[in-house]
Amino acid sequence: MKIRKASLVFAIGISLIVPASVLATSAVAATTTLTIESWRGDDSVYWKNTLIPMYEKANPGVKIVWAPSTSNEYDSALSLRFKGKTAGDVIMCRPYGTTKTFIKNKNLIPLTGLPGLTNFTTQSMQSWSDASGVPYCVPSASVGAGFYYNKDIFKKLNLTPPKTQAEFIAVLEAIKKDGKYTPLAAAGTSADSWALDQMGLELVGPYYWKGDAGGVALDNGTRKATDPEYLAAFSALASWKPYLPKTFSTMGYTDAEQLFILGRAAILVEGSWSVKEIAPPGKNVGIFGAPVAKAGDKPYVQVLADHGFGVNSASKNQAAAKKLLTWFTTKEFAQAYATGLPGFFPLSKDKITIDNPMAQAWLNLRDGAIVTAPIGMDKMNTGTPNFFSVMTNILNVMMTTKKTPAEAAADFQKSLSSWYPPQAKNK
Amino acid sequence: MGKRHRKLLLFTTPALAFFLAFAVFPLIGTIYISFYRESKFVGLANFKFLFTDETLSSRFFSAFLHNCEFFIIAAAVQLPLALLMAALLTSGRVRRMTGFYRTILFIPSTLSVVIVGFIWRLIISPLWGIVDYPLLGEKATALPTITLMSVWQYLGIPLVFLYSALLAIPSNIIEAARVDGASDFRIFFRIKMPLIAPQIGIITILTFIWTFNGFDIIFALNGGMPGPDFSTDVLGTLFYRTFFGWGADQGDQNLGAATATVIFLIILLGTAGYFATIQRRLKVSQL
Amino acid sequence: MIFFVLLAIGPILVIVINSFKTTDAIFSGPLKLPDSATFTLDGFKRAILNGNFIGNYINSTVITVGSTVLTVVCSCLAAYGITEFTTKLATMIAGLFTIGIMLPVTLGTVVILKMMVRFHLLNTHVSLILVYVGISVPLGVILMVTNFKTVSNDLKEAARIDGANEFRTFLIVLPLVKPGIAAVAAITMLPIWNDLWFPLILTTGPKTQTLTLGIQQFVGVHTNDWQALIASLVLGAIPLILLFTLFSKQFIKGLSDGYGK
Repeated sequence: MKIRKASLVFAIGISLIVPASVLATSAVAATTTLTIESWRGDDSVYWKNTLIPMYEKANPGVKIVWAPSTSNEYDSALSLRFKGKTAGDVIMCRPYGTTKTFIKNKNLIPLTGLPGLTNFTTQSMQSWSDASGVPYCVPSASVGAGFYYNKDIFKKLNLTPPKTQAEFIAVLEAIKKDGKYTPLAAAGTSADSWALDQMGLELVGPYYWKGDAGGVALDNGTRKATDPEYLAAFSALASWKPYLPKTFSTMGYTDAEQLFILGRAAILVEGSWSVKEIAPPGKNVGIFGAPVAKAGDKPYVQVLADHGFGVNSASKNQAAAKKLLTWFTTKEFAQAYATGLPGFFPLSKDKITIDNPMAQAWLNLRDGAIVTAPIGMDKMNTGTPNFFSVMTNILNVMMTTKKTPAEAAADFQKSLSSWYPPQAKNK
Repeated sequence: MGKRHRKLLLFTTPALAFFLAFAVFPLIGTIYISFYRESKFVGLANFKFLFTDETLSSRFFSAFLHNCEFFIIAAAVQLPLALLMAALLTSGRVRRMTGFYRTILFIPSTLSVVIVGFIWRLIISPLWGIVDYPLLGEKATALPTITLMSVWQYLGIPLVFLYSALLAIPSNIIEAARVDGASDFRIFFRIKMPLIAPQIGIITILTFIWTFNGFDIIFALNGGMPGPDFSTDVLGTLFYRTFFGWGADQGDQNLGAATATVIFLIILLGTAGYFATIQRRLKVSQL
Repeated sequence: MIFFVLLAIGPILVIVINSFKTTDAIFSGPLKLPDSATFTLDGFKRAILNGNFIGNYINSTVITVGSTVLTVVCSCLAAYGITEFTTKLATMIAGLFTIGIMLPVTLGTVVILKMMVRFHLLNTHVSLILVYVGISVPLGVILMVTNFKTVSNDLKEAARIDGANEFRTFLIVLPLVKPGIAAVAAITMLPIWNDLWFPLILTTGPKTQTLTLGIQQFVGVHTNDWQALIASLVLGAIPLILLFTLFSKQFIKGLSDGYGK
């Protein structure tokens, strides 16, 4: 009796496992299913409810699966999936960095001749092309970085958005003296240290190192990170320290956002993609860009081509994937993207209407300013260690401990010269 | 004899097959590939890189020190606490609710590290919780804090283990001591503890192996490059990062294998050293 | 004592309470019970819909049950063999398994990964099951050995005289070690269900994600949705807490027997 019961349990167990495993891992044969790999889990609702149905309706027979991973793990998990041939069909591409490695390893297919690519400038495709200019990803959107401010708090304390560094410090001082609000909120944990780079150093720095030229100089080794213009950038970032919350080192990216949303912080350093969370309709929020040192100088505005879409070279549905990519080049997609994901700005040449006033405010930052891309993302970001991992750690240490900007710059230069050949002579 | 051997092998083959294929072979294989670089034999080159590369070697030694810190705190806190609670549970003072207490105290061990990490991070967060000091954000306190979280979670295991060890002590010894007029304290320290000393030893060495292999809670809280400033980086996360990659850092399977081999050696030496010295002395004292 | 119990269960209760509240209520009064105004199941709704929760539950169940069943079967067979055919080889095999309990298997991951890639087993349930059985078998075998040793020889001799072969004898003896089987099952299930490492490496795809990995991903991706976050944590914790309180005796017996040897 017991024996039969045991073998029955065993049989049930096996009969559950086998079909479940088969079901779970076999592909659905009838329609073509395209899987999109991405790190934008935050956008899942819009993709699943609007963008994907839009395409599926016009293309019966195609089913799209949106499969995001955590942003921090995306690159290594994707690399593994490429090796194991389990990666999705359509791949969201990071700017420069790992995408260049994937191109080198032939994980993505070249997109020369893809209809619709003419809708983009060569400059916007640079981060996703190989050395000879062959494109591998369709650019989708760019983002910017800046400061959100709580208009109600500013009105209460009689403040106006600052234009110069001196004005900025004055505003921060006034809020600090008032004592009721945290002057500045930003991401301080080591896990979110990317924010101190992208929305910190790369936000205030371009003005001092004169934009793209400053990046090229470091890439070539003609300038050192300890030279005055970069040191000034480190110092500008360090000037925030007295105005950050006392417990900054445990404040994560979302904690900072929450602090601002709850009205406890007056200013929040952020990227433009956060419009939906930070400035939904009804919230009295404004933005201002990085301050300049000398009144009257032209400000620099950072614009980062944030992501594009490519096709997995091991995909079994390459034709269908390419058709989807062509849709990504159209005005229809760009308009839908910009409308539903305010703060992402399509890179295509099409003229699209931005109806979200906050998104428009982000765009307006570019008026009268010099547009520049973040430095260190291309040549200094291949290999291990790289610009990203070293800089983010040094910035986090500088902002959470007593380390001075001079020490931070020196630490960075020391590390850079040890693993980046063009800088080896600048020990 | 041959027939017995055949029958033995027949019955043990399934278990042996799984064990050898998926536990033993991978370990040996890892040591093997650590001598290669992309299918090319390079001898000790990977190890040399691990110990001499500026960035990697400093990370390795820091991670090793962090593991030591983790182990010392875990052993110093978890063991006495588990012992204390096991003693309380068996002392007769809480006789009626023993089962209930035992169950409740074990529940944290049933949670996954993601849940444990999240709950505690929330509680000690200066922003949303009840603690004012940024424990997880400061270099000096980050690792001890995470260690204590791990101790909270896994306290149930040595507790149960020591509890049954205490129960196994023949009651006539205790009775005899009581008749002689010994107090509870004396009974515990002079009689019970020496008798369960081997078990305490086993728990210690198991704690050693677990903490040097630790990864889950640190990764769940701080990701693959655990800060602040790598102060919570342990050998486990270093290993993960080296062979798998993290962020823009590429992984390298051979270098990762070399890292794993070194970690294995460390654990092996520690365990062997322990058995050679302490466990032998404990066995002697039992006589 | 009370203090320790509160310390153990307190944090968990707070989270459970908060999973039923609206976001504002969570922030303004984390320690308050939800009342009619702040009670909501929204968090649970969103967690289940947005995360791959049902799928993850199924995956975890399939993998855990599969691994446990196989482990129990292999352990019983091996333990019977070791206790029955006592030869020097048997002692050696037992010693091998004893060492196996303490092996840090995760260090062999690089090779495990290579193996799974080579055999196209990435993102399959099978890959995890194979690994977990390999890891869990040593402890299972040793636990079952202590149980089988208590079976009297007379029963086995009687069966043999009746003409039963070894396998039948094994099946006859099996019911006698039922408590041991329960203990092995209980103690095998716990670390497998909660494991983060191997699913992180071997089954990252959404179709084969385990519950533990799914929660880790959910926490990482939806960090702004506190309601869904906390609800997902509660959903993740419940199965094992329930399982454990129901089978606490077996768990504890498994622990004390196994590590005692």
